[in-house]
Amino acid sequence: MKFVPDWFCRDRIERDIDDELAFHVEAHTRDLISEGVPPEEARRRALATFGGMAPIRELTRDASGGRWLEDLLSDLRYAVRSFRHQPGVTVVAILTLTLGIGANTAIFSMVNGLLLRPLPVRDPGRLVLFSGDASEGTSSSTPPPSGRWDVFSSEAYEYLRSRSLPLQSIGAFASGEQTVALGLSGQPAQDLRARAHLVSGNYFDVIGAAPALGRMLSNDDDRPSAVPVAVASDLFWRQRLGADPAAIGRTVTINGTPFGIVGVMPSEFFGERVRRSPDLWVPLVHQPQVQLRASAAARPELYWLSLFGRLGPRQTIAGAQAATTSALRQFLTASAGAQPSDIARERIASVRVQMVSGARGISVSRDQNRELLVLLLSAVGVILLIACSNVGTLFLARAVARQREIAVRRALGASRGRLIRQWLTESALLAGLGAVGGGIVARLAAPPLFATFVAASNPAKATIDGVVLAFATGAALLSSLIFGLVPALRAGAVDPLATLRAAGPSPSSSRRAGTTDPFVIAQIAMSMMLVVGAVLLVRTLINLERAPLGFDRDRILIASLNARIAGGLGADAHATDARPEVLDLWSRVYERIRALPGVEDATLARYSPFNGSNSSRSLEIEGYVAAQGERVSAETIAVGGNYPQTMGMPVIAGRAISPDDRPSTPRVVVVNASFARKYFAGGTAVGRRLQIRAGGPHEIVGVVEDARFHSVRDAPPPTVFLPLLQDTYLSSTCEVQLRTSGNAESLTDTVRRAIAGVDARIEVGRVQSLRSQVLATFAPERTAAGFLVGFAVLALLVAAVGLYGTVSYGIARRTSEIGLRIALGAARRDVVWLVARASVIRLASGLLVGALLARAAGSLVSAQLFGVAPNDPLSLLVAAATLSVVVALATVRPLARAMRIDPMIALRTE
Amino acid sequence: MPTSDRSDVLQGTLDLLILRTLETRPLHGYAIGQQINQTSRALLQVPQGSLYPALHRLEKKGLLAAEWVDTDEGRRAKVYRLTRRGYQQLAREIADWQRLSKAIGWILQS
Repeated sequence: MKFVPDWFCRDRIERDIDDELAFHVEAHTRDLISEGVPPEEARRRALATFGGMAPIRELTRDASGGRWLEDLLSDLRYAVRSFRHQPGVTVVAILTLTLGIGANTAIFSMVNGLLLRPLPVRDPGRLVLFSGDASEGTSSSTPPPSGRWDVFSSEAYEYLRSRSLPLQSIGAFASGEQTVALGLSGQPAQDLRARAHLVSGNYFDVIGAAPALGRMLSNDDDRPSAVPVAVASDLFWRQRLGADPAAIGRTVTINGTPFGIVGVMPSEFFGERVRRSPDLWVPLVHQPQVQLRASAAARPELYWLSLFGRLGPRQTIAGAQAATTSALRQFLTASAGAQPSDIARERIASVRVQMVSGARGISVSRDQNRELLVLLLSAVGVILLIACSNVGTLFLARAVARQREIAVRRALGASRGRLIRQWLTESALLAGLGAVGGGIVARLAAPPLFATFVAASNPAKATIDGVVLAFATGAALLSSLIFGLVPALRAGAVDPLATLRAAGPSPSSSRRAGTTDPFVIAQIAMSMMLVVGAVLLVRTLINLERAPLGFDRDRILIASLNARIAGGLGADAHATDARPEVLDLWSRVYERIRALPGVEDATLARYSPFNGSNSSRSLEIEGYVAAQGERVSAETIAVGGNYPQTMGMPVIAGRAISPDDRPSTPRVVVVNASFARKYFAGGTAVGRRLQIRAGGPHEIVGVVEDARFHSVRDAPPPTVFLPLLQDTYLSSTCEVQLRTSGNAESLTDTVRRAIAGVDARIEVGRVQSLRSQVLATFAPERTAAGFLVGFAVLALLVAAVGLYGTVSYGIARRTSEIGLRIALGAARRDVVWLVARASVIRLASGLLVGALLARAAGSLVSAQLFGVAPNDPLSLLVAAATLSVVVALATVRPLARAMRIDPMIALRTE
Repeated sequence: MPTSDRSDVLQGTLDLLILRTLETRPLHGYAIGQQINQTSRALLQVPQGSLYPALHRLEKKGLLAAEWVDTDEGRRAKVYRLTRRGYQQLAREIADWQRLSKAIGWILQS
């Protein structure tokens, strides 16, 4: 029995063979001596019958299979020698592969970091999320009446927990973190904040995490009578608790309630969401203290919990999902009372729970960037193919140049397989070097590129781990096969006799050298595809930035204000009752900013366009009958006086919100054109009335033109503008919007001073031009366009190098022919055409194939495009022109050399 | 050395001869060569250059097994013996060979 492959103990094998042969010689010698031959002569004859020891030893070793590593090493030595012969070609090939493999590894490490890496917990593959899309949950006080449930009430959670479902355990967490006021014992009161995450007592057990210090939460911590405790994150422990191992048992206050720290999580743990870890994990039972709201547990209509679970052995997502869905329906039936209506029964029957794997946690950045990353991965895949065809071209040229050498080796008895192996070893060596270079490139490039997708605080990182290394190795092996196989097979097919008989490269072989053409055409075609993609995305970006939004974005400055402290609201930032102080404050701010020099107009707004905020409310509109199941709603924005004038939105009918619309005056609203179209079917809107929430009716006093406030792509939703200074739900946050007469951002300091002049306690957040706020929302498109332009340039560069090499090589091979033609009186023009013709043909075929490829790949980018079709002719034209220029540039220098060929010299070298 | 009345072992038959020689008892390489030489009444000469590669090839195929034994002279000798598969192979090759030689005999007599 052999447990170790032979080549591992090559030394032993050789020693054994030597011993065996020595024994033979000795035995033979002894026999000869016994026949009467003198000892010296006997030994000589014994040795002679072998005809030399060395060849036998070699043959014997071959037979016992000890050659494998030996051959590989000799192939490698040979490869290194032959690369040293042509350092230029070798360096170009390695650089090309480094770029190709590096770009792929970099993008793949991003894909790995964002899309593939599992949560750093025990057996993450067994985790399931009770949510259809694994996106960030929201809380809602309107019950999800029917269909899929993504958030749950406390009551529903308790019911599901009490049932024996086919899950090992079920845990819960609040659908969002809470920012809380933090107090540290033994430290002076400061305005400290922390992010607390409400989780069920078994949360850490279910997710599969262990504490670095102390203990985790338990179910006992989550009972109404429990002493308030919390578990801290590693970062919180370091920054707030001084990384003190004795921090366990210390007390912190959360919104004034003391909590004992019982444990610290390890640094790699961040919870179920792939983003910055919460500072503190607090049992659900303390929700009133953390959220400063009434107990959610007592409110069956409040849906605020996200659920997750851990599957036991032999339990499946499908089974858990079906059982949970039917349990939830039983729960709803039980709470619907003795005689549920038909509608209620129908609704309950439609309720379902959808489960997805929780192995990778919840990640918003993953959902946002998945498509883009897949697009980028395809693009770098194309670059690798271009790099491979480039190196393939070089290798084919080498194969032709080395035909005689190959023929000699064949004639000396090297087998075909042996030669193919030699060539593949050379390509694998090259690809290996490319992979090493690519790994370095990826390591340097991936983190800054990743930062354009994901915030630095996010635990998702584009690091080079085993998966990425495996990918890089695979990419290198694959590329060495792609660019190495064709030349290798050709090397194996060389006919030694024919090649050696011909004095120079035979006519047939020089014609066959033209087979680099497919590689060159492939490079042009694939570059064309990338350039088309880049042009499409750049045009998309330009279209997005130029798209009319329905409001002026230039010359408008916005500043976000918070009057939490100035308005006397204290720590309770969530109080939304109208306060006379806040009302007064906003009125004074409004008056003050309107009077600023350089300000043409100014207004207030609850939020500004494209700042990410959106508020939508249910309405009742007098005279509008809702269809069955229709939810009558509209976006509602509270604004100050002169809003349309400041924003440059035309008033179509009636008037705008005025600064005189106050709590004491009749309640009014202004609606947009979409609203009027949808709910009044084009009839008069002014004078109609609508009701928001439970408050009294508002009269519509004006209609303004539609404007896009959230997305350039989507049509504006029906919108209602409420008077900010009349709103009964006056908020402590608001934005001022100023229309300036010059450069908006030059007024930044003026505005800050003016606000401070009204009340120094008003917190002024970001002050920026509306233009830059809008532009910031195109970041994903800008990232995509930037990446693709970079890739296209890279592809063009690689293709240009490949083409340059091919053209130069072609001219070098035809030097004597060209010299002969010139000597026979060919005009320079004819020589130019002779050389350029090949490039023109390659370019034309490459562009044609590239256009077809681009068309086929169009569907991949179509979701990313705006205002331009995937098969847009102008973009194709631009790309074709770009490639023509590149091909021309790559041809010009070799061409110039061809024209300078001196017929005398050229013919003499023959 | 006159070679006219001697033949080099036919290509492909060396394996058969080795297997046959080892059928009765294990032997080392030199003894195998000697035995073939003697049994064939010195008509067949095993080229030393192909004996050892053949032995190693057969060992690798699993038809032979080898064992190192210490000789009286304090040397190490590698002794080969037939494996079970070796015996089966030998039976097959003998049958093949007899069929072949019969056929060739008929052709030559016809």
